[in-house]
Amino acid sequence: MKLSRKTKEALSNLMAASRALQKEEGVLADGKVSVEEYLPGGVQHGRSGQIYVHEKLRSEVEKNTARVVSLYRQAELSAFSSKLEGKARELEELGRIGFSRAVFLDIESTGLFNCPTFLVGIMFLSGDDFVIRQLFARDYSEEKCLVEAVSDLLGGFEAVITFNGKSYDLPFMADRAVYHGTRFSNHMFHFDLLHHSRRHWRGTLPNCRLQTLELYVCRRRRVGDIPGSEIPNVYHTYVRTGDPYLLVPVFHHNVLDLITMSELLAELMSMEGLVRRSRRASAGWRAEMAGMAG
Amino acid sequence: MARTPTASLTETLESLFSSPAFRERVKYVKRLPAREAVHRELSPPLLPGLSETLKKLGVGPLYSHQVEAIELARAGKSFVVVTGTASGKTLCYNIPVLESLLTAERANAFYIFPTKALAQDQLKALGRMAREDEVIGERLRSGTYDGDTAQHTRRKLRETANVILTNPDMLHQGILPYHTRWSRFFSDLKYVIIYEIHAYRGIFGSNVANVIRRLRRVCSHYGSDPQFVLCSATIRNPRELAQELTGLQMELISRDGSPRGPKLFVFWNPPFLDDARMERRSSIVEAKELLVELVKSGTQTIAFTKARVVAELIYRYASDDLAAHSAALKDSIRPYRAGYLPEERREIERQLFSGELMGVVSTNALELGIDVGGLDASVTIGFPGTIASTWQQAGRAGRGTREALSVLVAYNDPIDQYLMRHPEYFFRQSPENAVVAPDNPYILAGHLCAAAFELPIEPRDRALFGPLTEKITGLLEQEGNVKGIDEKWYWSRTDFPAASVNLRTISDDTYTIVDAKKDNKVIGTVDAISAPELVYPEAIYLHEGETYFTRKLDMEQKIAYVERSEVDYYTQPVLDTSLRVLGQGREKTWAGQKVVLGEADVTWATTAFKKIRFYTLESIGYKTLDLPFQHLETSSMWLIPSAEFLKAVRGGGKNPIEGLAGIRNMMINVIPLFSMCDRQDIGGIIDSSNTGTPTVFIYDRFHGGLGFAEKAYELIDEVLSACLSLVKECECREGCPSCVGLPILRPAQHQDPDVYHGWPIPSKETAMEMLSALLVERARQAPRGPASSS
Repeated sequence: MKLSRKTKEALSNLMAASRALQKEEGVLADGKVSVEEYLPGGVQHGRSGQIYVHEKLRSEVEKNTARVVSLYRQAELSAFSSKLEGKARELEELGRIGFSRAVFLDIESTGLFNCPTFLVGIMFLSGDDFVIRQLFARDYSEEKCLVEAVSDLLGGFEAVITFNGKSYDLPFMADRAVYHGTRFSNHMFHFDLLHHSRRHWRGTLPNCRLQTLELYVCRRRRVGDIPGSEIPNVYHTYVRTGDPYLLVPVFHHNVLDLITMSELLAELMSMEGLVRRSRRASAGWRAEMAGMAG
Repeated sequence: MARTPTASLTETLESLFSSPAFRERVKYVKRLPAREAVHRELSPPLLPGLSETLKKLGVGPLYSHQVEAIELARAGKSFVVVTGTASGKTLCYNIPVLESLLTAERANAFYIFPTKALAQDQLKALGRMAREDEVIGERLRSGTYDGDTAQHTRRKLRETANVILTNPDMLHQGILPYHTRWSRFFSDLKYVIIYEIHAYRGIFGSNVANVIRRLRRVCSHYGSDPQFVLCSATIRNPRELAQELTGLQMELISRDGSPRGPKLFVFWNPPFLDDARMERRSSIVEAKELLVELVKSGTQTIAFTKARVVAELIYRYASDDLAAHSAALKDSIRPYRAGYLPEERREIERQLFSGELMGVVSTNALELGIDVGGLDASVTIGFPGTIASTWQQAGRAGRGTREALSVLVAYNDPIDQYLMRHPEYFFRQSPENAVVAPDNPYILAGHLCAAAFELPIEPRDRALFGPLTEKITGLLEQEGNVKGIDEKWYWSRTDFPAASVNLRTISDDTYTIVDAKKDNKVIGTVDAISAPELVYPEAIYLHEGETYFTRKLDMEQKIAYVERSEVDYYTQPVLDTSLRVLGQGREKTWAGQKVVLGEADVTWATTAFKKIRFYTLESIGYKTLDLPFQHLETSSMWLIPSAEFLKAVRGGGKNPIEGLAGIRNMMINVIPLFSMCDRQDIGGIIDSSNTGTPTVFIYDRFHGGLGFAEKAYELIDEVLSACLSLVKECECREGCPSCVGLPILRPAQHQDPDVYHGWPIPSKETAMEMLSALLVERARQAPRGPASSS
C-alpha cells in the first residue's frame, strides 16, 4: 500500500496508542457545490435523493442540426418500404419506431468496473431539434438517484442507441443498480452503433473507436477535447474540491460523443440506402481512404 | 492389491530393529496407543440419497465429530473442526452443504483453500459424490474460480454455480471488488467453508481476516449472513484463531471420533563418522536407506524434506538403490514438490492414492491437506521448525486401525540434536499458537481502501473493522483516498486498491523453468524469491531426479532456461545476507544503552555456488556469481550496547556476541506477545557494520513494515524483562529452542528453507547475565520499576 509519509506516521501513532480509542467524528466536507454557474440547469428530485440536470437544444451548440433532423425524418418514412437484409434490418426497425421514441445514450464513469458513474447524456428528437439532457451526480452519494432517473427516463422510450452500449454502458448501469440495491429496467430495442460500424469499416479504418470514426466518417477533428482517460480523475477531484469549472470539458466531451453517434447513424442509414446520400459524408472518407491506400 | 504390504509393519520393524546398526541410531521410541472409533446416530438421519451415496463411496457409519458437525450446521451455528489427518474432516462440511443443496431451492457455498491445488483436490471429491447420485449430480454445480480459470468459465460459474472453490487471494482481488456480478451468488450464500486455517497465521492470517470482514460486509449488502465452517490442523488455539478470522462466535469440535491404529514415533540420529564425534553420517543418506528398506518390505512411505534439492537427491539415490533390486521397485517411488507442473502433481497424488506408488519424497507441499489416503510410514528429514508441522507430517502415516510408523531423522544441527537429546521436550510441548492481528493499523488501512472501493464505509462497519475504523478512515480521507459524504466514505480514486494489497508475505510472482533444447517447453515453476537460489546460471536443476544445466536466468522475463545434461554432481548456492540502515527515526537511552527506531534494507543474494558430487558429497568446484540482491525495505529497531557494557561482559570471560545472539533469539520469541504477530513475521540479525559495534537488529519481515519492531522499541523494557523471565524460568541447563535457541532465522521473506543451516544454540548463561545486568541498571535509573516505560 503506497501511503504518504505523513499518513504512515499517523498510522504509527495509532500503533503506539493503546487499543481503546475514543470515537471521533469524521470531518465531513460539504461536497455539494453549485454547478449552475457553468452548466445551467436545476436539481431533479427522485426516489433516492437528488441529481443535477443540465439541458440544451442541439441547435444551440451545432450548426448541422437541421440537416441531421431532416435525414432522420426521411429515414422514418423510407423504413416502412425498404427491404434491408441481415443486421441492417435493425436500421429499419429503428426507423419504424421513430426517432422521437429512440434515445441516444452515453455514460461517463470513473473506470471500467465497480466504480461510480456520474454523468449520463441522452439525446432524442423533439420537433425539429434534438434535446440534449445530461444527468449528473454531484457526488458519489447521488449515484443511486442517477441510476434510477436514467432507468425511469429510458422507460419513456422504445429504443436506445449507443456506441458499444451492449458491452459497456447498459451492463455498467445494471451493475450499478445491483450495487445500490435498486432496479435498472431495460428491455427495449437496443441499437449498438459499434456493431454496425465494425460491419462497414473494420479493415478499412485503423480501428473502430468512436473518435476514429469521427475523424474519417464524420470528417471532424476534436480540438481541445479532454482525453477520456483523464475524465475519472477530473470527477474525483471535483468531488474532493467542489470546483465545478473542472466539469465543463467533461460535459462537453459527453455532448460531442452524442453528436458523433447521431452522425454515424445518419451515415449508416445512407450507406444502406435508407436515406439519400448526404453530400458531406459521401465521397469524403472514401476518397481519403483511397488516397491512404495509394 | 498393490497396497497390501508383503510383511506386516511389525515384522518389518522387528527386522530393522534387530540389526545393531539400526539400534545404534534409534534414540527414542514413543508408542502412541490405538484409539477406537466413536460413532453416533444422527437424528434426523441423512436424506436417503445422500446416505446411499456415502455408502457407495465406501464411507461407513458417521464418526461422532462428523455427527456433531452436521448437528451444529443444521442448528445454524458456525464452528471449527480440529481433528486428525484422515479423520473425515471433509464430510464435516460437504454433508451440510449437500443437505442444504438438496433441501433448499437456493443455497450457495464458498470453499476457501490456501492453495489452488487443494481446491482442485476438493473439487474432485465433490465430483465423486455427484457421479454416484443423479439428484446430487443435478443439484450440484461446482467449480474452481481462481487465476487459472478461463474467462468464459468464470462467467458461467458466476451465473450458475452453487459451490465455488477458491482461495483468499482470488476473493480479495478477483471476486469481492466485482461483487455486483456475483449478486446472485452472494444473495443466497449459506455456507463459507475455510479449510486448513492454521495456514492463516501472522501477516497472511491478518490479511485474510480482513478479506473475510469484507466478505461479510458484501454478504450483508445482498441480505445474506452465511454460516462459517472452518477446519484446522492441531494448533494450540483453534477456536480463538477461528473467531479472529471470522469475527464470529465459533463452536469447537475437537473430539476425534475416527479410529487410529497404534503408532510408533521414532527419533533417529545418524551415527558419528569419526572418533572425534564431530561429523555425523549424512541425514540424506540415512533417510534414503530407511526409505529403501521400508519400500522393499512393502511399507508405503512418505518422506518429507525441508528443501526441494534434498527431495530430488533422496529420490535419485533411492531409485538407484531400488533399481538394483528390480525395475518395478525403481518405478514405485517418485519425488513430489512445489514447482512441479499441476498435471504431474495430480498424477503423483493419484498414484499414491491408488497404491501404485510405494514411496514418495516430498517437500512440505504435501503437508497441506491434499487427500492421498493414509500411508504406512512417514519419515521426516530434519525438524521442520514447528511442533505443529512435525505432527502434521507424522499424521500422514496411519490408515484406519492399522499400525503406523513415523520417524524423525535428525540433522546435525543444534535444534535437531537438542531434540535427540531431549525427546520428551517434543512430546511435552503443545503445538504452537497461531496469532493474527487484523486490527494492525497498517494492514487495516489497505483493507479499508479495498472495502471503500467495494461499498462505501459506513459507521456500522466499525462492528466489523474494529475501533480503529473511524480514525483510519479519517486519515485515508486526508490522503484523498476516500471522501466522506453524509456519514458514508466513498473510494475517490481511479486506482484499484486491492491490487496494492498483497495478502502473503511471499511474493506470488513465479518464474517459469523451460527446456531450452525442447522448444522452451515448460517443465516447472519456482517462486520469484527462491528462483535465484534454485536456477542461478550454471546451477544443476533437478527434476524427477534428472539433472538439468541452467543456461540462463532471465530475471526480467522471469524465465530460467535449462537443458538436459547428464552430470555427476549437483549444485548448492551460497547466500549472503546483510542489513543496511536507511534512516534513523526516534532514539532513546535505555539502561545506559542506545535504542533506535528506523528503517533498514535487508538484502540477500546467491553470491556463489558449490558443485557437489553425488554420493561421495565431495566438493568439486566453487564459482562466484553476480546476481542482483533481493531487497526487503522495512522498519527496524536496534539496540546498541555501550562499549563499557561489552567490555564488562568480556571481562567476565564471556563472549558478548553470543549473549546478544541469545537475546535476539528470545526477543523474536517474546515480541509476538506484545505486538500480536507470528514469530515468522519478524527477523533479527547481529551486525556491527552499521554502528561500528555489535548491535541487535530486529525487523519486520514485510515490505514497508507493519509496526512489530516499532512496538518492540516502545516496549523495550517489557520485552527485555520478558526475555529475562523466559531464560530464567526455562528448565534447560545450557540453552534450548524454547529460550536462547531458535530454529528459523531466514533473512528472506519466504519460509521455504531450500538453503538451510542451523545456528549453534548460544550460551544461556551469557544471555542471562547480560539481561540481568541491563535490568538491574534500568531499575537503578528508574526506581519506580521497570513497568513504567514510555
